[in-house]
Amino acid sequence: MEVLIYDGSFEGFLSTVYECYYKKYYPLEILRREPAIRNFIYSYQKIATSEQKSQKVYDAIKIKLGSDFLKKCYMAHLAEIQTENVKIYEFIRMGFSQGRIITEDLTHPIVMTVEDLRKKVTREQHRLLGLTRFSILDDETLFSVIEPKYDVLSLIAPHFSERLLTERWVIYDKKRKTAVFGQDENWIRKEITDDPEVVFHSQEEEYRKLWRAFHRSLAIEERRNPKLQKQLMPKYYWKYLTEKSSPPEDGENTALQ
Amino acid sequence: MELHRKLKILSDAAKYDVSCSSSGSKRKNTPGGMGNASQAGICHSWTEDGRCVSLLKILYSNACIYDCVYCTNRRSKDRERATFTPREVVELTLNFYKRNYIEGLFLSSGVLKNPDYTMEQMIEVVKKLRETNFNGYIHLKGIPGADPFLVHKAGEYVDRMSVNIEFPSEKSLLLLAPQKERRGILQPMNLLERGIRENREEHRSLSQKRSFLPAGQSTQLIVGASPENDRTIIRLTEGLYHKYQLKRVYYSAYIPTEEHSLLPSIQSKPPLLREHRLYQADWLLRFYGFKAEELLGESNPNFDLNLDPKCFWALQNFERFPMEINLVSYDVLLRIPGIGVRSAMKILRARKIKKLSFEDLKKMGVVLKRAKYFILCNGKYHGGVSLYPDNVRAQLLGFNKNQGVQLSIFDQQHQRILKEEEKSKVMGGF
Ligand code: SF4
Repeated sequence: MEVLIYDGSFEGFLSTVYECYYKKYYPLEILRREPAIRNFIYSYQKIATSEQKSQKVYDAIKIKLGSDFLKKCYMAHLAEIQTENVKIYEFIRMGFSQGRIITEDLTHPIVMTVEDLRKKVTREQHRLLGLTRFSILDDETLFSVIEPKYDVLSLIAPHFSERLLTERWVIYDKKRKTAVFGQDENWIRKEITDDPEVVFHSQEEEYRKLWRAFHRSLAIEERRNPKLQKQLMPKYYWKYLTEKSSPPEDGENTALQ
Repeated sequence: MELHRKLKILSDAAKYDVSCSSSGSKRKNTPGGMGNASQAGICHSWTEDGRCVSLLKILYSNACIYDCVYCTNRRSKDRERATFTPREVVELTLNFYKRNYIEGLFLSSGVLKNPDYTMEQMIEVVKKLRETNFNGYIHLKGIPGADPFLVHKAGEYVDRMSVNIEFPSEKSLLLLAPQKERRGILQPMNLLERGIRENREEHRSLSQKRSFLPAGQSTQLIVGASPENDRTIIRLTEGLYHKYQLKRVYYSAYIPTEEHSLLPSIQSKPPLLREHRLYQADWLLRFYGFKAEELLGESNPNFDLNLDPKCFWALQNFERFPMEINLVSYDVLLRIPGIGVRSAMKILRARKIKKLSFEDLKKMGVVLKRAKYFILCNGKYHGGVSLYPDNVRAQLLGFNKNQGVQLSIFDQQHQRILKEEEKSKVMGGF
């Protein structure tokens, strides 16, 4: 009974797939990091990330099973639910033995799991395209903090890169201590050690106030339904939403609060 | 007047307007520009009543020289008036957009001085925005009665235009919006349709020219302020989709704010459920291959508020059911109550692998609450009641009752439908 440990990256995962596939391992679990306590009845093995091996697996999936299949695996892996990693591996193995047709087998438990992970990640990606909030800093940089459940930072970056073509922008994933920096159509992803310190532009507070005022005046009181609001925009994300993060100012209409 | 106050007055005045979607446009960002109008509608927030916020939706002005009886901005009404300057709207839009509060601008207005003047002011706004290389989404309302040439000119800068029909018959229009003319509404619609068509054809040959209304045109109907029945409304809708190639028709349940002998009393509830049923029927026309005539005949000109229009239709055409889920074509699958585009696609895919049982459908996440009364899986019926329309109707109604006839529920259903639309648009996206 073997538990494999890799570095949490997709390359690391594909390297693990390589080891498993060619050495015919049937791992019990594939962990993203060293567990807090090792269970002594299992044996553990660390898998080194290898560019060469991961590239081989990457190409094999892409050529034999197509880029849609590869995307599915990539997205599912971003969910970072490590207990499901074995199933992603199983999915790839099934693909290699039976062909890409397995993705149509919508009632197969492995296919369902991967599909479900992919859906979760896609949903959050799409959600954050809307819910990411930027502040303008005194040097005109657009700055945003997020804490997504899944690692969607690299998925949303291309959208903002296109949207904010002429701006300098940063999105900081506080949970993963990672940021993307964008400028002139390019963006890079970097890990950072400390939360960045920022100074806001003098107009920043004014526009936040205007936005809050606008947002509040939109609700139609006869149709007020906070439960529905929470269902559509889970509280989990409110922390960084300008319209939700601070109380209404004095003198503003608080009837809807 | 302070900007804060203006924004409050002019967003408050715009909020009853129903069109909230910013999807359907494919404006790519241009070199050196800011913004892209993403094809899948993006919600940036949700209001306390659970509606998606995607655009900065405001009036340019709530001062109006017209006196439409149903409108809170009408001339004879005593209320605080405000008017933006083009610059203010431009700054607000750019600043909200950069901070990712919004996907773009939705600008409408009361009639200031005269229709042409108002239209010119609005053109000034959108022109300035595009000159600063703003590439976000813009939806502009055409001012009824404005020179069609101006309406057309505005179309060169924006993604979508809408000219509101307001009422399903000329008689009601005359009665309730006496200064608006049928001609002043249909003429610009005609011209916009032609502009879109010509642009498309030129696009094919030249492929260079700036695109004209890439997200098309839409319109809005007020439901419940005038006496027309559902049949009249959806037949009009169907005609609008065909004749003017509209992208959307929006329905707005009339919320009584004015006391007037020609209008429902101020105590009456807005017909939200009816609005919801009309949206569902609209859906059937656009995506499910239904014809208005099939849905509502002369003898039954209104939907049953307790049934969604597809169930309503299925019960009237009960001899076609139950249908074998493993055999019927995609188009026919779509006619089964409870089976939507996504479920139908899933069934098609999964059917390639094996014959599907009732359990398989469940596992695949196909919602069977309604569908089970109308389908066979490998020849087996799982509805649990004998196959008479009255029995099935009773089951469907019982199930509606359990849900409770509350506004919140219908709003939720509505939201779900809207969400489904978005999803069907992003399908295939990474
Ligand atoms: S023209 Fe428009 S704003 Fe003016 S009264 Fe009529 S509906 Fe209201």
